[in-house]
Amino acid sequence: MTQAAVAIEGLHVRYGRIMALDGLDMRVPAGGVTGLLGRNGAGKTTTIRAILGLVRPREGEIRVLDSPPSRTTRARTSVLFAEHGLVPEMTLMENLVCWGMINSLGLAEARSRAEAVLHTLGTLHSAAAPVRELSSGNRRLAGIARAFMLPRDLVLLDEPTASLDPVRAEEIRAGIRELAGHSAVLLSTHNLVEAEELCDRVVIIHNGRRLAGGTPEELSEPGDVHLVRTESGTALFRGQRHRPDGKGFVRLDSGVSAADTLAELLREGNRVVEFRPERKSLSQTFLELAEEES
Amino acid sequence: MTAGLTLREMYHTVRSMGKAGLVRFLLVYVGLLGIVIPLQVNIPEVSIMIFGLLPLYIAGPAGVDAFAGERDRSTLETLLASPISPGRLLAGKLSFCAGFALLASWIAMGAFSLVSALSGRPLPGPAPYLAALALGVLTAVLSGLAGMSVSLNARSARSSQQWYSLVLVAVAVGLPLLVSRVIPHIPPGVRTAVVSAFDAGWVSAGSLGVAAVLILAIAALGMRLAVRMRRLWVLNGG
Repeated sequence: MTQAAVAIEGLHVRYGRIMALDGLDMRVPAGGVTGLLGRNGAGKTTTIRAILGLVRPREGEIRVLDSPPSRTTRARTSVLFAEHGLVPEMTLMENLVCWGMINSLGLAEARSRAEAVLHTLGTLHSAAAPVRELSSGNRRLAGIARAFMLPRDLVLLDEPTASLDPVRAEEIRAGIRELAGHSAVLLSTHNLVEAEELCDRVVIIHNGRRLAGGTPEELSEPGDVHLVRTESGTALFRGQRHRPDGKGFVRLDSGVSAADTLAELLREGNRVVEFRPERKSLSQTFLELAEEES
Repeated sequence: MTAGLTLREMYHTVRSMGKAGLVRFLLVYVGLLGIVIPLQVNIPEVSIMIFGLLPLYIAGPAGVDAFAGERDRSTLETLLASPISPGRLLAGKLSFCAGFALLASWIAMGAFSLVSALSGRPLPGPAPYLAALALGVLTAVLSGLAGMSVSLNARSARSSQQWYSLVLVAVAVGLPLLVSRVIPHIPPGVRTAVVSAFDAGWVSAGSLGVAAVLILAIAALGMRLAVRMRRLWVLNGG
């Protein structure tokens, strides 16, 4: 089994009367990107807080980088919450320099790291601007600069590309992929397309419990629905003629395996040009699971 | 870590005030409290003690913002996610509150001394100056801790300020009332002994006693705050 950066077993966390995590089990492997998916209130932010040791669990166990969450594990972890975490009145550079110093860097090193990360993100021109004067996208980018500024073994990102334009979002995704080469990344997101594209593994949670987990491919396992393209365009199946969709494929919910469906199609005289099982998107899987639970 | 936090507090305060705010601050603290009022008091030894009490008005309000302001700005959670310890967080915040108050007080004291010398007024001797400096350090730390203590439990910066104002009023009104009630019950011999404890001048048993009381209060408040600081890291209230 892959060594885990985070191992959570049967974690229960309560805020007053509200049970935020209700026996959560999950693992974040030591490398790559793990996606944490769930609806609003599913427990994603609480999971991140628990990893940082910012909530007191009622039950269960959590280990971060082989230790219980503590100041030592926080020194090896970087986080971007939904809020950027920067002081709005201070300039971006002042924020980053102070953040570096709070994380044990000297003034000169903090300044040089800040300049380097702003240069990498292409936001050096905003360094002297107060954070409150930046656009919402640039404020998000400023938060990302803070989270990426220090090399860490574990990086926790809550909706990192929210409010970024598509070009910036793609740049940040590339940055996350690069980061995942030497750190474990836990990415909490609502953007299922992003999760599918970026994550090596995905954990879906609902009401503080794990619903499903695995690679995006495992979670989008084909079912009994198949796509067929024929020479005539339409397909005769079980005595009925089916019309194609806009892409020229006829969608058949056969209820049997791909091999049996293809055999039936050929028996009924269809001249098959292309045939494949329909793969569910992560988004479909997520919606189905969420609907089942609701 | 502590230096980074102190620097952050300084930047935040200076940027929040802006240039116009800084000028107003200097006009009020240096101009009015540092020059005009002390020059109205014709006893230089009394005037100089104003600078020992001036930090009360600066360190406390700065401390009031320490944690409640972080909550309002949504920066507290990120700060707590750093490897900073409760002790260092407390030290970093307190260094700024006390340091800022002392700096303002010392600038005002310098202005007062300069104006006194230029206008030919008598200046107090070195002992009153040293006493004012020592008192300034103690009041800066004590009021900074008091402000931070209120801030730790407040839900927002506004409620923190309201609570701190209530505490100030309670102390300003309650303490003299308490003293006036207690004094008649103190035996005359003890009263005479207490008064005569200050007879030796600035370095007397009386003044050392006052310093000891302030130091004890600082130690008690500081220890209580250090213990309660750990609660900050428990966002679900235990």
